[in-house]
Amino acid sequence: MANSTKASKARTKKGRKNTRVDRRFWSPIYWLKKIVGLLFKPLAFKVYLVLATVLAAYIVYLDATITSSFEGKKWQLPARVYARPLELFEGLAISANELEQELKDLGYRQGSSTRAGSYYRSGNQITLHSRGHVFWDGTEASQQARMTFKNNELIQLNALNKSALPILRLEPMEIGAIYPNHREDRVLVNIQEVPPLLVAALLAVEDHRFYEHNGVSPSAIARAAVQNLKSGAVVQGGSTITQQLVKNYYLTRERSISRKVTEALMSLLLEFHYEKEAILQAYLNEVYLGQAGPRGIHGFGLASQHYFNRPLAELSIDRLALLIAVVRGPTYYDPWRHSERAISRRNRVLDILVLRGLLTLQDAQWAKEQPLNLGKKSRSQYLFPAYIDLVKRQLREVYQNSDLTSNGLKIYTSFDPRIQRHAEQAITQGLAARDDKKLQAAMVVTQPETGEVLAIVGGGQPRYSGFNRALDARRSIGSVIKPIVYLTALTQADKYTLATMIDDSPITIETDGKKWSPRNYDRKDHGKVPLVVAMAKSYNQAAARVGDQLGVDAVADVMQQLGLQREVNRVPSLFIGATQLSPFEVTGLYQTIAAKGYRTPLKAIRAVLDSDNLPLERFQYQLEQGVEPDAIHLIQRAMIQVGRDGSARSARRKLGNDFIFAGKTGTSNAQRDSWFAGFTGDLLAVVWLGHDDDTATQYTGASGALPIWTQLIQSASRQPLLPLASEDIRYQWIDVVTGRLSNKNCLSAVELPFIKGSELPSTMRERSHCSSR
Amino acid sequence: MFRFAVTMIVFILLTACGSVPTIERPSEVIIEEKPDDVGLRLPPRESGVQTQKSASAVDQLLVQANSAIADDYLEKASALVERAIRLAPQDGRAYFSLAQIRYQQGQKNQAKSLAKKARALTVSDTALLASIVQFQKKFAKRY
Repeated sequence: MANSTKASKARTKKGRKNTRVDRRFWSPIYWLKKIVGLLFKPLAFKVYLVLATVLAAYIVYLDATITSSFEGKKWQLPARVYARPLELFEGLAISANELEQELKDLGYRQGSSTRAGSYYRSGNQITLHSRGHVFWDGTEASQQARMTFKNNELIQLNALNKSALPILRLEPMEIGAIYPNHREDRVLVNIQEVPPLLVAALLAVEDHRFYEHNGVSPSAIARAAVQNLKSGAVVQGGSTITQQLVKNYYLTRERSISRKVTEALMSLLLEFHYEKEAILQAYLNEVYLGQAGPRGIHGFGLASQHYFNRPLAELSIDRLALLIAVVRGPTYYDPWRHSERAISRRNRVLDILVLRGLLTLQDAQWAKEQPLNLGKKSRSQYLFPAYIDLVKRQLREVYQNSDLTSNGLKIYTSFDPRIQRHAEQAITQGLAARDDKKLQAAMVVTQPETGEVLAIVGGGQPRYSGFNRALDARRSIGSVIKPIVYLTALTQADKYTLATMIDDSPITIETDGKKWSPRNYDRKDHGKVPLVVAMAKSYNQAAARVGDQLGVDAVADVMQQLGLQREVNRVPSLFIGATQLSPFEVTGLYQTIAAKGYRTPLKAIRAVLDSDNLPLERFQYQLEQGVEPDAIHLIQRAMIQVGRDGSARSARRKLGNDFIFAGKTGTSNAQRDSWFAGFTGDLLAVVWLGHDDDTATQYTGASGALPIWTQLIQSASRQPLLPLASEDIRYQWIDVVTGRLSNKNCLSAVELPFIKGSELPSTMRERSHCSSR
Repeated sequence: MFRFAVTMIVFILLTACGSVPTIERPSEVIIEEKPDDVGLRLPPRESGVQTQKSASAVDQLLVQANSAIADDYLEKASALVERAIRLAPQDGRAYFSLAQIRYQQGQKNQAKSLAKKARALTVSDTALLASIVQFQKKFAKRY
């Protein structure tokens, strides 16, 4: 009994004690006492010290992170690639329409010429206000000039300030960039160059106490919290500009308490170390403002180009307001995809500007009435993938990949947008006109004297990157090689002239026990014909015979002298083009022929500047005598005959008798490849057509590639070929049937050049002679 | 009589002046009138069409290049002359200027090739031709 009473008392005491603990557990005072008690216990002091040390170390780490990355180079900047700058001068072959197109591509405003980056057109007169630009050889100042055009020529160029203006260089168009792996893209701007209204508007909308807080604004956080509570959703953010910069620049998009704490600490540290202006400038360049395919659009400098195709300094109020509007949500307010949302947000921004006294009501009203005024949206990452491909390859001979994707280099090229447009049109229209869906094409266009690459088309869909046939498709070149075979012969002036009779009868060449018997395309034999005719008519048997007389090594050596880097297969079938070269390599060979025997490497890059516009590298014009100019003059004349009376005479019918060009058709076995390579006074172009799987097509060089070449030349070339003869060249009238001297009035007479000493002996009788045919 | 003789002499001379010498012509040959498009006579060597149009722009660039040379900015001068070549790729003056710059830059082979090309392109400008020839001679003596 006594035992049971004891047990009962004990239970009662325990129950009372539990009740007391439960009550205290819910008391804040209990916990406060408990914490204070713990804090002042000797062991707790040690824990506290450790925590404080860890926190201090963390702050030191954050501080180091900030200072190490915020000073100096903050971003990996892509290398930007520019087209050639258009140089305007009296006598330039350009129409008013072509200049206007160039100005539109550069984002010039039409209608007046009062501000830089604008123009005014009245009939054949254009008045423009150029922007100015920093080039390798100096700064081109902004100019106001008036130009008059007549018959596709700039006939008058005057500065509006009456000073002499012999030449005006426009800024070059950006044609691509080489991006870092993270695909962030930006154009750095200096805060001094940014329109003050943009900065004021940004602060008014995003952080109007920017100059008052120290990186974190508790009042803004509290205000945002209240607003969000009231509306039941996140409608307002409390982050300062500094916090937004920290979040974008240093941190991930993770949403957690610890990340917010880090963000706040870093913002305080950033403000402790750096001036407000520096933070603002970093923000202007860092903020994410849109997406172009895989490329992230960061900073206002690039956003201005991305949305409006013009520099930030040239933006009107409505456009500046739209950029500020997009800051809040580049995807949600994407002006292309959600124009109404974007307009609504832009107008809200304009209202805030009025509220803050930054804009008058009238100006805001005018801005609200404006449409979005977006520029042309670029369809792909690279507008001209085949050309950019060449630029990258040539750059990588000099620079490492990391230099190209991070140092903000400015790459100036010889790319000509006008020529590229015509080349693309010629290819796409040429392919569309042919009933062969598998048919592919490539084209390389260069300046004949300097070897600068003006345009490249890498396939039937020029704007899609992929297999670059212009550079990488190695195909049998067929008769495109014949000028080189005959050039090899003509370098031996004592043995060969353009009038030398070549036997076009069947021939068999035996090498290492193997017999080779080429036949003419028309399966006919033509007997003895002058060399110029054998070349113009592209007779295989004649070419093989001459090649056999010269030796395969001699022909292959001349190919090297013309600039071919690759070693060709030294077999007799080389004489009719049984060797595989890319269109780019064929262009290299013809370049030396077009440039009078002076070999100059085909180059796309002119110069490189660093991100501060300081000269870094220049790719000099270099040339080397490859083949004697007199022999070249002779072969050029034979190549002209190809267009007069040979396999390319259809081009002459389109271009006109007076528009002289030189070239050669090429067709490989079973018509697998169709080529035309030729040049005028201002353009050299090589066109290839064929199937990627190397199957037969229904086209010869004359029916496939030549019409495309002709279309390009008809639309883009302005200067016919004017071959200059040296003092050592003599001209004689030759009968192209007999190869003998002829009266110049004979039906078959052609005036041909001869290297001094190799002329035909002249007699009165022969000069009067015409062959009977 | 004297007047008649003089008149006859003048008549004979005038007739001779307007006639073509008789050419021995094989009987089987018929000279046909040639259509314009069969034979081809290339423009005369002296044409120089391409150089004239851009002359003032090229002049301007060459003046700037000379100024850069005077300041010893040879690479800048080279860039300016290369611009001139792009504007007028058939203008011998620009190639000759570049030859001189390359010579000063110590690129002897380039200087030699450029001077040769300049000479090939120079037709009617005898003063320029003389300068190029002189340069080439000087060059040949030294190297």
